[in-house]
Amino acid sequence: MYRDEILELYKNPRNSGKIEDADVVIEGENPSCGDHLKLYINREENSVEVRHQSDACAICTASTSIVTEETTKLTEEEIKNLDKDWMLEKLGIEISPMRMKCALLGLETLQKGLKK
Amino acid sequence: MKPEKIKKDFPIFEQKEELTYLDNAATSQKPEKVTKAIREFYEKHNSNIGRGIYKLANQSTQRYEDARRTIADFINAEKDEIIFVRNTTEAENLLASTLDFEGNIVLAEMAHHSEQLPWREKAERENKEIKYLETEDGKISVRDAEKKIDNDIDIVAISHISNVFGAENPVEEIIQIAHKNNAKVILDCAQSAPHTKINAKELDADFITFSGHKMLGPTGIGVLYGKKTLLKNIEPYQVGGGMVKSVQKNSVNYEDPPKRFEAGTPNIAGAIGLQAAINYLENIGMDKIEEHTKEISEKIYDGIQDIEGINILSPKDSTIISFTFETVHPHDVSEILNQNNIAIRAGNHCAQPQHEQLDINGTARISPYIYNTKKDVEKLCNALNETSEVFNTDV
Repeated sequence: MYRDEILELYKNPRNSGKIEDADVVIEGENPSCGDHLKLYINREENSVEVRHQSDACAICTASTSIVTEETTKLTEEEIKNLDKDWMLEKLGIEISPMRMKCALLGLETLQKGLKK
Repeated sequence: MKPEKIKKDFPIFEQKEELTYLDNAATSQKPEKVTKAIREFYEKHNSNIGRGIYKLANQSTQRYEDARRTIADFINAEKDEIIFVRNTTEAENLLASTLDFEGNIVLAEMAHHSEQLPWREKAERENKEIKYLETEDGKISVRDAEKKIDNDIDIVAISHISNVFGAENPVEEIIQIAHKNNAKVILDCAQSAPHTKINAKELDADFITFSGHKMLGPTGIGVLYGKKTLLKNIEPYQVGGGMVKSVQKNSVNYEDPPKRFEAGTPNIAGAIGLQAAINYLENIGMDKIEEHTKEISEKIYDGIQDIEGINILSPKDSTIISFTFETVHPHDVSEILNQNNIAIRAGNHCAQPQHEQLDINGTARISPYIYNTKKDVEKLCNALNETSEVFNTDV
């Protein structure tokens, strides 16, 4: 599960930090396991810019990093249609049922933020 | 005590030879003697208890009551002071629903949700105040108990051993402070009953709760002990069959304790399974069990304390070792150990307020028991060293 790419994204998360005056700021958490994220979202014309502050496990931090990188290429409509299979394909590792919520927290929080 | 030999009594370790099971604070594995006792009851002696006058029903009733006797002896209580419940959580809910008192409540900051939420709910319903005893070096602070338990307090609900830190709390001192102020004490022994001899009379707690499944017994059976002078004045928790002396159209006469609190057909096979578990534990000896678990815990403590990034939260004499890893989230620790066939628990361990207070997002928790060997400790230490290397190396 901990292939080098995942560990690398955990140790050096992409788009980590804040956006001052972001259009949307939203928090996401898995309280039972202790994953916590804060997403800063700016809506652009044909994409969104996302930064994150994560206090979470490797799977959650890495998948959130991937989400923030991929969404710069996608429209809001396209982001809203992303699902579990997309996330798992991007992660490229097998995720056990108990860790699924870790893998999906970043994407689901972003999708919730875009509904605001 | 020879844990290698004890391990052979547990069929799961034959099925899963590679398994190192270190999540005993969540639940324990079951020896064949326990599963066999349950199977035998269903295959040879099954009948409902109580009213039936045929031979099988008589035997079933006797076996159920005999199990109650074994449990009473195990904690040095009287038979009628033992009420069968589903688990510790149900015992706490039973008390919070039925105890009638004027004053306020004292809980501990470290409290498990099950010994916290029933009382918070009651406090909200009845407009009572709750005070929380602070944690000092992984144990409930006696100094704080002296400050917070006063004449306005009627109930003190605390745990004997915390499921987060694993250290024995200074309960005897706290019980004395409570009694000096005329408060009743509910002692959660879910984490202590599997490891140490509980002596209800010596401890002098007013109520004691524990679960069968953490001490080699089956799930779905637990125990509420109450001093009989108190039980006789408590109204029923649930009503129905098996807990009444007589029912007329306009009146009902309830049974005496413990039956008064066991409405409906109880978990007969569960009680018999728990009896078999207690017989198994007593056959080894609770003093030897405590000595072994402490020895294994100490070896784990010594083996992991110097690993880069590890910070142990449990005091040294604990039977549970909870820790954080500077650069590794508890879930990742647990996952890497899982890949090495080692089962531990990660998260808030049903004590979220305590973790908030410590400002940590969960811990990894190792909880050994009678079947854990020195080999298990070595395997664990190697895997944690590997975890440290994986996460602390720059990529």
